Amino acid sequence: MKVELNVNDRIYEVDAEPHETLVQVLRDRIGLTGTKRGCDVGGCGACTVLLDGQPVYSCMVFAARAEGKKITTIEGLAKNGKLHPVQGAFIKYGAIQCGYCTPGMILSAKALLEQNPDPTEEEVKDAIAGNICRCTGYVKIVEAILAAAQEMKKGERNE
Amino acid sequence: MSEVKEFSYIGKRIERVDALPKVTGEAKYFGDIKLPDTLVGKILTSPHAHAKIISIDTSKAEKLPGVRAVVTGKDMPRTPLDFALAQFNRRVDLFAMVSDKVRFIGEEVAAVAADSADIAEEALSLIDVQYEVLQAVFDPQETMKPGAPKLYDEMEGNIALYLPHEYGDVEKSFKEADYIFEDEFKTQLQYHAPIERQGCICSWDIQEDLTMWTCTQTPHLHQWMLATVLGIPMTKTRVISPYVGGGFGAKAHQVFPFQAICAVLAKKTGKPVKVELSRGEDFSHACASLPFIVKLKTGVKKDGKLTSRQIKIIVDCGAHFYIAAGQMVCSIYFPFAHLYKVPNMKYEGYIVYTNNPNRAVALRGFGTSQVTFAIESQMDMIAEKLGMDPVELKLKNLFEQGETSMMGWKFDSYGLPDCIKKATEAVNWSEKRKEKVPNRGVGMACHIHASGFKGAFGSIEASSAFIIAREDGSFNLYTDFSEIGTGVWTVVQEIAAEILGTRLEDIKVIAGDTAITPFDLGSYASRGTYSIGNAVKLAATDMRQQLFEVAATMLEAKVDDLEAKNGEIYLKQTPEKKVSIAQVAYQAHFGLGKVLISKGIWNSPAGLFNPFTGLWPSPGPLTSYPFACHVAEVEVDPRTGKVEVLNVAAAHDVGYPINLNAVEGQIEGGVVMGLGYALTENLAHEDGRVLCDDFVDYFIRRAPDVPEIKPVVVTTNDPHGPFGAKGLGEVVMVPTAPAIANAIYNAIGVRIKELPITPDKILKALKEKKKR
Amino acid sequence: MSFKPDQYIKAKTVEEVVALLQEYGEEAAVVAGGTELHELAERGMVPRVKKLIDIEQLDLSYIKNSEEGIKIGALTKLRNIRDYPLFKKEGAYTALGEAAKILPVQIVGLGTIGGNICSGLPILNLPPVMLALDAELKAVSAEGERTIPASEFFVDYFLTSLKPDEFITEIKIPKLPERTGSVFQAFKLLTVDFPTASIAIRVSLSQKETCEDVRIVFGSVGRIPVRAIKAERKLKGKKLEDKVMKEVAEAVPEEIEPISDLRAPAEYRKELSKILTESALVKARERAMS
Repeated sequence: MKVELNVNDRIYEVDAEPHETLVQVLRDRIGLTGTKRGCDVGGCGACTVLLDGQPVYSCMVFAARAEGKKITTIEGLAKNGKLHPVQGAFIKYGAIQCGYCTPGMILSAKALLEQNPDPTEEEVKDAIAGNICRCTGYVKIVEAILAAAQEMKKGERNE
Repeated sequence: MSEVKEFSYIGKRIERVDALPKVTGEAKYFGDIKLPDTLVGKILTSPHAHAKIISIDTSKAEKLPGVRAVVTGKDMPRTPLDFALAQFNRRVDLFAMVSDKVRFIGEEVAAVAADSADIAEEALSLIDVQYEVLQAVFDPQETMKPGAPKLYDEMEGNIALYLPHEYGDVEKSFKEADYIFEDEFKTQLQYHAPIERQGCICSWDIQEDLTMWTCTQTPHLHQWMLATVLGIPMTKTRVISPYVGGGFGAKAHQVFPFQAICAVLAKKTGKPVKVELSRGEDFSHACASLPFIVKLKTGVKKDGKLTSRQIKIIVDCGAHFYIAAGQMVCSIYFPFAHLYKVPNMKYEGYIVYTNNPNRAVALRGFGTSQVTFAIESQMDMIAEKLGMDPVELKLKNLFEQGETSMMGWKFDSYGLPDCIKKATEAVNWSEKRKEKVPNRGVGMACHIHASGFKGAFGSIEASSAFIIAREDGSFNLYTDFSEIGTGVWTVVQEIAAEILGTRLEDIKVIAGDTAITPFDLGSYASRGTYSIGNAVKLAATDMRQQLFEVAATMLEAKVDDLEAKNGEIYLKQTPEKKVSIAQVAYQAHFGLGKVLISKGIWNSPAGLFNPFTGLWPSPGPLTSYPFACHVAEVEVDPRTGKVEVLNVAAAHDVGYPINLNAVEGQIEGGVVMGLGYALTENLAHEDGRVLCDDFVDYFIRRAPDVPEIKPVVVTTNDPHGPFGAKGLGEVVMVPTAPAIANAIYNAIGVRIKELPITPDKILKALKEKKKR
Repeated sequence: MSFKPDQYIKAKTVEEVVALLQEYGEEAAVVAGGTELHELAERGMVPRVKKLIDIEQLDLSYIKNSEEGIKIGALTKLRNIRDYPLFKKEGAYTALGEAAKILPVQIVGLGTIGGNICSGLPILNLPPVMLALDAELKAVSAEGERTIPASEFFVDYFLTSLKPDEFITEIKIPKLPERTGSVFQAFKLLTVDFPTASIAIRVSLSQKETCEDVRIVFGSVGRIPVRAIKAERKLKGKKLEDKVMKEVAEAVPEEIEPISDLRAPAEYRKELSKILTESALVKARERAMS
């Protein structure tokens, strides 16, 4: 069946099976491989994308369900070569190791900061509770997100 | 060349070379690679823990439209996959696919390549395998008894390897001890749980050259082993491993059956074939960090001096050796023999076959987590009995800087006392031990680990690199050390930039392809920074010399008068007299007709084990031993037994931190993984069946449950490591579990000797304590 | 994967859904948040499903509070239940807000109350709360509407009393008497985990502060949410004094038959049931009296 998806402000028309999930369509049909498939049952968070700004497990969303919604993947964060503050903070604070959880983690963080521009450390940890990282122990990730919040508050928004 | 005094990059928080591709989603892992016409490969595995294969009928599967190839054991190469470790293991037991007998649930029996995943799965369901189910054995102590169902007919029983040795006179020294402690400890199966699942893509080209895209920690070992197993030259075998989404040992050392099967399917179909394990299959595939039964006996004098130690270890390696022997050997020689100085030691190590789904690939710590848990828990018990602070007891039994152990291990840098001091200070140890708060406690544990380990593959414990200076003064650094997240590509960039005096951005690291990079054993045994760091140091030093020789002619000076920094080479005495590296490179090529290439080959000057004497020639299997001390503070809810970890201080003697962010990141990640090992992670199985197939059933800590973690970096400037650096990747995880166990004891007075320490175990122990 | 539906239908009205369910019955699956359906599909548990009926566009996302009680549309997202002021207030309906406080964000934003209840999984949070608050579920089919009390809704693991041609459109919570307090508590090994054991309690007090009505319901300790009726009887008519609450807690384990699994042995779950009862009763009393 034909599915029309708005991904990172671009419309893609793809042919998808009824049971195909958003992560499958993003990776295999559209070719955006930044979103990762870690487990297919919403257990690890590597497939996190934003649906109308809300973090979801794209392995649990039917592609057809995502029609008519604004889908944001990691590839859509940097604008005109300028990184989103969360991306920049992850680099600066050493919040990346193997990088496999990173796209999902960054999107969860971005969604948090858009809803809650001044989160506490606990709120940051709750916001990324759906993203498993096996490498970092989350310490520098939390540090980076708090730093990004400060930077964004200073008004250096990447719009 | 003398060490650079004030560093531009070494010791700083340098941004990773791979950070940008990873934060933008551009970084391609093997699963992101798309080749036209790729078929999906799927593997049929045994549903039985122990059975004879009577017949396999693939005819129906072959007829299914969309199926391009079906293979069984008879289509597989005859060369065993574990040939490289045969000498050590004294047998081979791993082939790409079995034909006669299955020995665990999940063993590979047949495989298909088809146009789609759906067709491949349907084809698997059409393969008819007739089994004769045999009696299985799951208990590691039962399997050792005569009469237990035999896994391998050619063997007498199920003891795969028995390694005993004695140093000194243990029996006599036990008699001289004032106290003897005898305890049994049990550990569980842990799963690495890298977020990237295993898999590979294989493709043969028209010249019959094979390329395998995969996630591997050891691309060159993979290349060598794959070529050997398939019977093709290494020049016709290429392993491409771009970014790797976490390894922790799961993706190291070994061509796995699924990889060999994928290569065969690709050859048969003439098309690329992709085999990707589902998360459930990945769980089953990596049942590592084997469960150990550790029986530990220690003799000690009243004053705290250890007199003797005896250990019996039973290691359940499941149906295949893999690298179980290495794990057992390391567990004995690191924590048992070298965490403390004990004059009389005896060990008995058994590796036993069972029909459990254990697959003894490496897992961070490599056997040491199990025995360090035992050693450090028991030291805590000893300290209590002697009325000593555990710190005091430990300090009484340590080695000394520069000392050589009785087995030949030489400690040219020895930061353990400093680690103990700093970790305990960071948690206010003395205060908290003195002023005990109900249900709260602090506990500590130490560890010694590796920076590489010579002996797994003969005399080689090597890395190599080469550097090419481009005509414009930028550099390419070629290494095939895998970037699995440890930050090693950045470390080598820093080392090269520091020595060459360039800017960081002038050095581009080229890696991940065996066709264009030189040999490296790969990322395991915590050897990264030390080994490839040393190789890059040599290559950079050589290149620096070449650059300086050209610069000397340009500046009319002598090489020894020159220095380099920030992309410029200048006279030490008159720094205004300078020339840019870009100019030097240009002049070299177009003025002097010189092409600038340098190489660095580092083979660790360590020794090989003598199995008859049980000794190493100094300095032992490696030169630079890292040390650590973890101190944990916990609060236990006495009603539910639930443990809340309040904070953990982790002091690590890293020699010297090349990249501070990377070092701290490893420590923080290691502690969290260690907390999992201590409290919640258990790859449960029953009657040979793995019970966990996703993260719902396997309890990994997430951000809300991470305590305060204080990484403390201790520097000892190891004389053998590049800029003084030593290994770090594994030691970060090992002392956490015993520190937690000891903290729990300090908090509520119950000693749990079986991991993971779950709330129900604590509650049960508390009830038993009340009864007494 | 044996999950191979051949059609994805975006329904616009309840009538449309009802007609599809009448035609396809067990071959149809209703997609609300979709989180549970995906898990079932991945595990090969829904091979017969051929039609996916997406009900997202139905007007079933609302919370209406009136004198007769509270009506919650089945598509109401868990995060909206979590944030609804009445459910955050310390009182009769707090159990709802507590049960909807789920992490992670990815689930709580997608998950709906209807999906959480219809999954038939006793380890989810809302089912025990439904029993504790005497909720009623409105099931709609081609034959019309029927009301299913929560106590009759849960049949077994993954099995509710919904017929193949029915789906839930609304959950009704009756107006609870004054001096009522409800609590939901869960014991979990880690913050993001299913409960090892959970409890939903509702206590209604008389003017004299004796217990007029009580529900003690457990999740994660049986195939369906389990009500500890005998323990409840021990409380009726009495004041919620510490001694009494302890007695009630001690009575609870014999009414539940938990299993041993990867999270905990059965014995430990029984122990937890006591601890949760005591702690939840204290809180419920507090809320009833506030």
